[in-house]
Amino acid sequence: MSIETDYLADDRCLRIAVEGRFDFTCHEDFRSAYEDHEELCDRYVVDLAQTEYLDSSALGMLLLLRDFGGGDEAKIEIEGCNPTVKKTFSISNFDQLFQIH
Amino acid sequence: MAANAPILVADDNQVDRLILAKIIRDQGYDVVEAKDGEDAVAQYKTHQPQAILLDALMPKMDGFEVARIVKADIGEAFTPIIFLTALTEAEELARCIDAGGDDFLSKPYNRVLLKAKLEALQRLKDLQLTTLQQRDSITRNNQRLIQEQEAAKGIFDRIVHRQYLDIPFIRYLMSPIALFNGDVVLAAPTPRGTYNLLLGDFTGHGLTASVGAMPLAEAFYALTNRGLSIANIAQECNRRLNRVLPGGYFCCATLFEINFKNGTLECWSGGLPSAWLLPPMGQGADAPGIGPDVREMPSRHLPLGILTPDRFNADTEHWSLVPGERLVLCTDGVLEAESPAGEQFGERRLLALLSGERARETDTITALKEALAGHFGCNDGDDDITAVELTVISGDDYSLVPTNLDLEYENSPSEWRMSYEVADDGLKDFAPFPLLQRILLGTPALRPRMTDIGMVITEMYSNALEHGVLRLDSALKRDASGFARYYQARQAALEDVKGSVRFDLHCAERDGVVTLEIIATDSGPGFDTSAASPQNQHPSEQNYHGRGIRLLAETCSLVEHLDGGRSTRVQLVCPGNDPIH
Repeated sequence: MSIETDYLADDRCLRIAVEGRFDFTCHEDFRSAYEDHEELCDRYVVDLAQTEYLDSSALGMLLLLRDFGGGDEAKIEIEGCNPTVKKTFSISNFDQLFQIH
Repeated sequence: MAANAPILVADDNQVDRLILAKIIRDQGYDVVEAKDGEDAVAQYKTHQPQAILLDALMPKMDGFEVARIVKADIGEAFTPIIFLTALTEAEELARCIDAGGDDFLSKPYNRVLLKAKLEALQRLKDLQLTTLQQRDSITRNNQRLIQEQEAAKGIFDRIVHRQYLDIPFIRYLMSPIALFNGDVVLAAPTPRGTYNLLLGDFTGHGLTASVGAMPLAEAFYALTNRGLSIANIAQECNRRLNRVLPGGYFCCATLFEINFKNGTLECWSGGLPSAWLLPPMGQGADAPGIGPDVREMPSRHLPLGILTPDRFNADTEHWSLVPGERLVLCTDGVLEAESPAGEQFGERRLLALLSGERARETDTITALKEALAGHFGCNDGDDDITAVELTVISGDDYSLVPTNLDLEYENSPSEWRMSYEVADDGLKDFAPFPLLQRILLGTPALRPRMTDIGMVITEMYSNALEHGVLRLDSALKRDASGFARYYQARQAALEDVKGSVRFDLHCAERDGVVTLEIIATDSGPGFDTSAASPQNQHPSEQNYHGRGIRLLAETCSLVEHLDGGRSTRVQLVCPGNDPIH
């Protein structure tokens, strides 16, 4: 597991990329990934292109990011999901809360 | 052993012994002396010394043997043994250590070296003592924690687990990974003659997960007892969990209300893997993949606890059931169960299992246990694994299931009348029975038949609303796909419903027998009542419509249509003087 962050072209969009297994072991790293950039961005892209697997605690972390980013007003896109990850989102119906690509 | 216990000096050479004893006494220790090996063992037993200085070569018993006896006896205490030796061969010195010695001291004795060794041993001894004290303290704390957890589990079990899972048509598998479990299975009969079942999976395991299970269970049982709908129960469970769970925590859950009498199922699903309807045991085609006789019920909503009440979606789905069919559902622990090689059990294996031969010749829980045991090898899973199978039984068989509705009521008279009318928007999400039950329960003679009354009122309301006010055609329900379309049409029609349904209830007592009369009147145009009499119904297994009117005829002493089909009147006879009340 490793988490990397960078800014996309328009500078106000934080990209958080999770590599490997996205599970409870990522909790601290994932949280600091967005809390450290609080004043610097107003949109988020969670890049899961290198994510093999995602469990329910990862779903919980995405909910925390959503709360952090303004709850119902949060602008969060989730990108690059492999079929396994997509399946997890579809079972939990998280596509009703996030834009998932 | 006290800190001021003596040091034992064992040496058959009297001069050497006296010199050593003097050096040690000069450093402030008490000394006891032994003149040979047997004497050393005896002195050890009498004085329990804090350290032993032991000559390797002594008459009667050599130092190696003394060391073995002492080390076998001292248990957890740390009594260091220092060998006194003129030996210088490395092998001989190693033998001292092998025999249980902690150090050795070469003759002739060096006062400074001896002092340093005794101090070093004292530090080791202090360390050992601290470790033992910490270990004992951890053991005590752990025992207290276990006792507290067991007591808490007792409370948890009484709140969460009720007796309505241990009935013949339910099989389940629960493998707790800790004393508490992140999964919950809740089940209870409703006062309307139906059966509610909930499977939930909280994020996380153990204490956090089980704390959330308590408000969930309380809401489920309380609202089920009051006869509220699955949509109401889902809404309330979500509201409570949304309030109590910390951010990022939620509960994937599926709720079912199963109506065995008319062979239907209502479902609210949020976040759990699909539930499945399998053909009766012994039936089904031997085809690869999922056959047409296996039906999938996918999850439709977000899990409980995420959305605020105003954004929660309580829409339910309706399914028709055939007797003998099996409803199977599991938590994602089953799909994510990892083999020793790290491979997940996965949906593909689950589907193969559900559509396979083994699930046709035995129940799916047995088949699943076998498959998981084969998948795990000797390795246990690290998630909570829970699966439930419910076999659809006949309405008659279901009426044998005991109901024990735990409700509060106050006694009221046996003679009373009331009317209750709901119109327009009020019809959108209305269930008459939870409301009326509070009044009906007041009359003691009605209580033993409350389940029948609940079923009758619910059926009469469905008929009045769906056919009278909404004018839906129940012929749509003749097959499984029409059944789903019927409930979609019902939902659409309720969006801008205009009309009303009225209940007139009259309870009367004569010669100790109480009769409850219920008249349901709707604002619809009525219908040709001659075609709808109970005698004209031709039930068959694949016929999902027209069951309501038969149920009324089987339960009530009188069923009649009045006012050109706009009203239905029924009577239920309740023998009074119920010995329990």
